[in-house]
Amino acid sequence: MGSNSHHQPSEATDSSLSPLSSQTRSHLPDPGLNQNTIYNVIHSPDNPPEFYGSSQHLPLQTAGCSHLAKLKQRRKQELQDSSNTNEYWDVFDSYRTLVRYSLSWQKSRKNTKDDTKKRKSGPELPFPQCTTCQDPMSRLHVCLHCVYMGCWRKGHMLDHLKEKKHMLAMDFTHRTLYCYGCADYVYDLELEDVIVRQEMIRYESKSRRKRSRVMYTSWEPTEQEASELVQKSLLISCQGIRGLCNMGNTCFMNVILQSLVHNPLLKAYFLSDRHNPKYCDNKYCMCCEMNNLFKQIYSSEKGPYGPCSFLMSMWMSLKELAGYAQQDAHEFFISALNNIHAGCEGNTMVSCNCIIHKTFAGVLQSNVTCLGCGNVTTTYDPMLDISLGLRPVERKKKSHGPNGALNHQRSGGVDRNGRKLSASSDSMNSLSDYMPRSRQGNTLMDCLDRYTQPEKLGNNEYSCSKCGNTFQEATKQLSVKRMPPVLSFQLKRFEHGGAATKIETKVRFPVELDMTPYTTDGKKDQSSINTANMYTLFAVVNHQGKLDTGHYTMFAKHRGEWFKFDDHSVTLAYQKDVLDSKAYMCFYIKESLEYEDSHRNND
Amino acid sequence: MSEQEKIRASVERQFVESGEKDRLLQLLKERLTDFGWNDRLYAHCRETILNRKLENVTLDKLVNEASDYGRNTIHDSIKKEVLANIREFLDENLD
Repeated sequence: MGSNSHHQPSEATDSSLSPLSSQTRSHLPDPGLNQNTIYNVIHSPDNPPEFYGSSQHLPLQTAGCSHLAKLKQRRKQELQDSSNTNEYWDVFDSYRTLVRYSLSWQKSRKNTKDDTKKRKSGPELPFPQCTTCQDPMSRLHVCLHCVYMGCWRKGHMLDHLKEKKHMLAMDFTHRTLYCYGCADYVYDLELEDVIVRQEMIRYESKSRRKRSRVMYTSWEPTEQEASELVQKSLLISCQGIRGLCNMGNTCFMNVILQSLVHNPLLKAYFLSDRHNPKYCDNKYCMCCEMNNLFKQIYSSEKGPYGPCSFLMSMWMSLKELAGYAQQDAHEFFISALNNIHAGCEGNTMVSCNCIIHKTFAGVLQSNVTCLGCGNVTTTYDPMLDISLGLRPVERKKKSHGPNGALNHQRSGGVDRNGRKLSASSDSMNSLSDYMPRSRQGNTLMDCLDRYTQPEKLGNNEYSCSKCGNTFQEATKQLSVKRMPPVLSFQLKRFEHGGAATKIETKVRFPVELDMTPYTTDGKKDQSSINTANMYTLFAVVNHQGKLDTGHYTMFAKHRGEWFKFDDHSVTLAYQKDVLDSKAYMCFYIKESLEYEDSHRNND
Repeated sequence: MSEQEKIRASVERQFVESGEKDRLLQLLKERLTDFGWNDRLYAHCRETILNRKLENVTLDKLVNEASDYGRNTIHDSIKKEVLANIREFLDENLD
């Protein structure tokens, strides 16, 4: 347990690093990993009081519970008292070691089938089992105060804590802390950040050694950045959630604004100050308005916000929008995207690299096949979203499995969207007698199927140059050539020609969507498994009521929870309610983002 | 330890050591998610806490409250599948 040789000469207590950071007491030297976490920066005892604003907050002390606070206090004293010759067992060091043990163990179990990995995995880890009854399965916990593992179900861990008067135990699988004093699990921000998160990052970085790609590294502030942060900024409390006031039939705008605010890529862009109104000369610039919107949403104001200036700038940019009538949310969405794009510096008409295009722009490929000579004409069209038509339900013969079921060795043939690949019966296929929660009907995948299926062009619609410029029979098929990071769907519920009606059909959509079958490459090779096309739902826009007089609400995901946004009112929502709702627009984000190819296909 | 207990302990150890337990747990989690079991249980727990006004409920208390609901709402096909996997493991590992 010697101290790290890279450690600064100053005392642990004087440095701005929390004494819990592993730099003060590390078991393994780790030159690659900067030990300064954001938690340490915010809670450093060296911060000037101005950093905490007018509320006169002294350096915040956080602890999961009073017992943890006492233990932290004791540790601080033990570290300061260098003359202390007592054997002090550092519970937090213990926690770090146990977190590593748990992570190592779980990782090593994944490698048991793979012999090459097995040879490379280090020394054998001790087999985790209850010290009292040797059971390895009944919710094992590990004591932080001594060397003891106990199962939960038979009460051995609790017996141990009581008998030895020990306070904390770690759940071996989940790495959460149980406090005997509180008789419950406790969650400590500092420990989660400085111990658990750090060890997990260290683990991730080890496993990616062989990848050809650049390794993902989590950003942690350097000493200089930390001091800049503390000297030049103010710590405020914010939620990232605010309702929007309805200013007269503006719910159509509110739902779109919320969907933009909860869009992870736009959020990252605007919160990183990438468009600073101070340096922007555009008049009625929608990019400045977006920046302002984020500023308001992430301010310490908790009450609803009235986006007047956003609305006014939109009116000035697009005179048709002005007025108090209800508008269509999707039209507003496309207008807003175009106007924000126009406000971005360096925006172009072709292959634009602005934040809007980087986020939403994809490419649709259209293949027209001449049935006379087989010649295929390919054209590319840029797209910002996909509008899907709805049709009456067709009863298909193949049954639809639950959405998102993943391919598994022992189960039957199912594609990633949960639908059977073939009609062959498989005794292990548990999905054959599954009845979905709601009646079988239109699903998003069905709509996408129809969108990308080959359709016959009418007579006299296609003339083939290879067939002497005569009219030929032809088919046309759409597919997505390039997938955008954020995929927006509009379900065409409003028919405007003649009798304006609204299609109320419920369309089921999944939380996880694999777009591979609708991509150009996916259509060529039906069996390809490409994890790069997995998308996750993050926002849904709903419309209730009749065509012109209805009301818009929306759901969005914020920090892992779903919320319902109804103008000024924001409430916690259940995922099942989101999935049960009648969606008008759905927003999905790619699960993993890659760096651009340098040889991007330029259309 | 009786002979039976010894066998049981040895099988359990093999189950954990080989990584089969983790694999099956992962499979179970995926299936439950697919069927929306997580969402429903989550909603049920939240409603239970609100309706019964359970102040400062501990994890153990919540587990006791919600376990029955959780167990009863697991779809039979999932149970069948997991049991089949376990049976296969036992066939392969018991002499």
